[in-house]
Amino acid sequence: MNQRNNPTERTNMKFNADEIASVIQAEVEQYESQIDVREVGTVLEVGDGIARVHGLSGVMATEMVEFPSGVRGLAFNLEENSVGVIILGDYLSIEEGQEVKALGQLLSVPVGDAVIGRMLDPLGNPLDGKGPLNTTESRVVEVLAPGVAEREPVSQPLQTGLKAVDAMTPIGRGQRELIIGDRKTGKTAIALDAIINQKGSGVKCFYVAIGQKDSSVAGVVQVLEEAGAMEYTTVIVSGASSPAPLQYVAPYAGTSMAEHFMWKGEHALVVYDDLSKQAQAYRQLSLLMRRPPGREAYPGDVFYCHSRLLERSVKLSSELGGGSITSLPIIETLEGEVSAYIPTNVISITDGQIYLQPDLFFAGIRPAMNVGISVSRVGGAAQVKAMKNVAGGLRLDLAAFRELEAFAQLGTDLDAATQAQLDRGYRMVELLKQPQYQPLSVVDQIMVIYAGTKGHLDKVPINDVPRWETEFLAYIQDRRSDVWQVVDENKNNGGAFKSEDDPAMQAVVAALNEFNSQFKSGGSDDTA
Amino acid sequence: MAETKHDTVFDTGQQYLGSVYAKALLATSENAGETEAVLEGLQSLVDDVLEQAPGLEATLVSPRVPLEAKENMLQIAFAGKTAPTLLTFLKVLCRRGRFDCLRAILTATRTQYNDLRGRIEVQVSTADALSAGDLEATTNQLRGALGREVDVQVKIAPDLIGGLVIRVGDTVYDGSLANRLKQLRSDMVAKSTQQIRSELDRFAAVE
Repeated sequence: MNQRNNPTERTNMKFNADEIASVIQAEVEQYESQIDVREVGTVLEVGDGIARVHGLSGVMATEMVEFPSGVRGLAFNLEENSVGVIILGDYLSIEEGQEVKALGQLLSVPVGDAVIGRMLDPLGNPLDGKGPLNTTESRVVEVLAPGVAEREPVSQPLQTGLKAVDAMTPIGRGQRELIIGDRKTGKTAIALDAIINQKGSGVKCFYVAIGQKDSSVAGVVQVLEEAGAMEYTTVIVSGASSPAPLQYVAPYAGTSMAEHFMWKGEHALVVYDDLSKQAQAYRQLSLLMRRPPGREAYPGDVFYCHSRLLERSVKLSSELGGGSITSLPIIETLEGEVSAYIPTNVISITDGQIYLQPDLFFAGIRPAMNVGISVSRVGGAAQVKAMKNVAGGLRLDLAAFRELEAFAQLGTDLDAATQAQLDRGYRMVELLKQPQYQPLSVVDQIMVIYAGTKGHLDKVPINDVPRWETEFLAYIQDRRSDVWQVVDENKNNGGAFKSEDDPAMQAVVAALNEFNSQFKSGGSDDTA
Repeated sequence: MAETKHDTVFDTGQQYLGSVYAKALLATSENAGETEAVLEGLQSLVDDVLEQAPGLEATLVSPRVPLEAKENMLQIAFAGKTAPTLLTFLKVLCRRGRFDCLRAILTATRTQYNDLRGRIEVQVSTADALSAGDLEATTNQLRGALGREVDVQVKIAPDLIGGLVIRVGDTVYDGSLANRLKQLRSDMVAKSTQQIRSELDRFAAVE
């Protein structure tokens, strides 16, 4: 964390008044006054986070303006006789008749290493009490996404550490993968697992909280801190109580901070939690600005609002450093209604979605991912080869299992083959469950999923599957780290876990047989 | 609801109507060759009559007062005291029920008149009243700088402390002492905090 330059952290520190006085004296002596030329207008009306201003005839769209109280705003609507301004701050300090000054600048946020580990508002002001940001760099908040020639297809994996996601809906660096589901289905948990799993990978993470309860954000920060993830994460907060303009701007601000690293050739992961709230904030602004309402009263350009944001998640070409921004936008649905306006918009923009279902969640299947309708359109190309070979048929197998399961509930007698398929399905479902905030490395995932799909768990009772997994992974770590090494070295071979003579597969099979021969089912935790 | 008298209360509809009526008024008075008199009369009507006697305006605006009564009132009050074009114009306003747009018409007429004459309206604010010589010099300077005839309106604002603030359209040239002090203060704070932040050891003595 960036506490080195933080004066408040130092003990027994005194400021040297003489030095400060000398700086001020030099400043006064060198002061050259210039006539201040500014473009001004007058506040006509103000309220609900917006102001209407008369004058400012030369102001440009999205140019920043300043009110006498120092609060800033953005020229949002340029009309024939007035300018609609969205106020980025406390609008109660603004009064009718006040002078508004055009700043001739676009909104920008501080960027650089100084923002890492901090909790900021969408304008880059610290909210964590750790002192001011020590950076001189800044980036414009609203920029156009890189063009076609500047991009490259997604090719590197971004491991979330979740078996279900990495196996069936793999995410590549530069991809936009939507996390969609009802309230309380574990959407944020998936995103947090993905952030926690970036530890040591060099991926900078940005968690943008939009319109959320401050208590939830505090909870998220605590989780990240406990997992040691705040060392590479920035949290951008625009809570439920902050004005709609700030909630609207927050995701763009977070993306700008991430772009700084992308253009340096580094990788970033941005979580937008959640874009439904941002759309609502934008709807509020637009209605107050008297823009015509469209479907569900959202303005006509709400699609563009999200598409221009998500287009900024990019894998840059190698000439430009090969950096990337991966984004995990979150959308909350009502009663599983994915055909509502905002969900369909964002589904069509993103490169796939992870669909979370409440009934799965309450049945204890967590992450509660509905495998049938969750997809990743580009991540397959970026998936680790060994994982691809191991989990290639998993989605279809699970879908077949779901069908069979429904059929089996009718109570008919089943033939042995069908029963075997069912049994393996139950074990697979059990195996894909994963506790919160415990991401697994890709090698561990490969071994475990290989065991499940190839029937190495068929003799393990369903209830023992989680224990089997923990003990097997502990066994590999403690006694057969050589197997782990072999898989790690071969995981990117095209033939890994495919051809019979693959060394990794042989090693894992041997280890599995060895472990299974001494695995005691039925509650014993003695693995020796 | 009480009528707001704030000068920034803004009605786009009225503003638009104002510009239409202003155009008509200017064209008529140009033809009659009494533009200056009409403009002066209109200004004095708003400043000296309507502001002093709000009841008169309410009567002229009210739809409950018969049109003949309004026209009579205007005839008795203004005939012979103001330009005939203006009197006719006021009657037309009453007949059309647009007397409430009078202020918007005044603003629009002034702007359009200035455009017509190639003049530009400049607001000069000072802390103390300018002497005639200073005003003359300022006007000449402005005329030279803007390349147009200027219509200088002087405003006294003691909180400027000193210096001049000149407003042309929406652009403000602020050379007031108050603004310079404000700038100095913010520069001082910004640069000092930056220096303190970058060279903490120079300023802090850790015990």
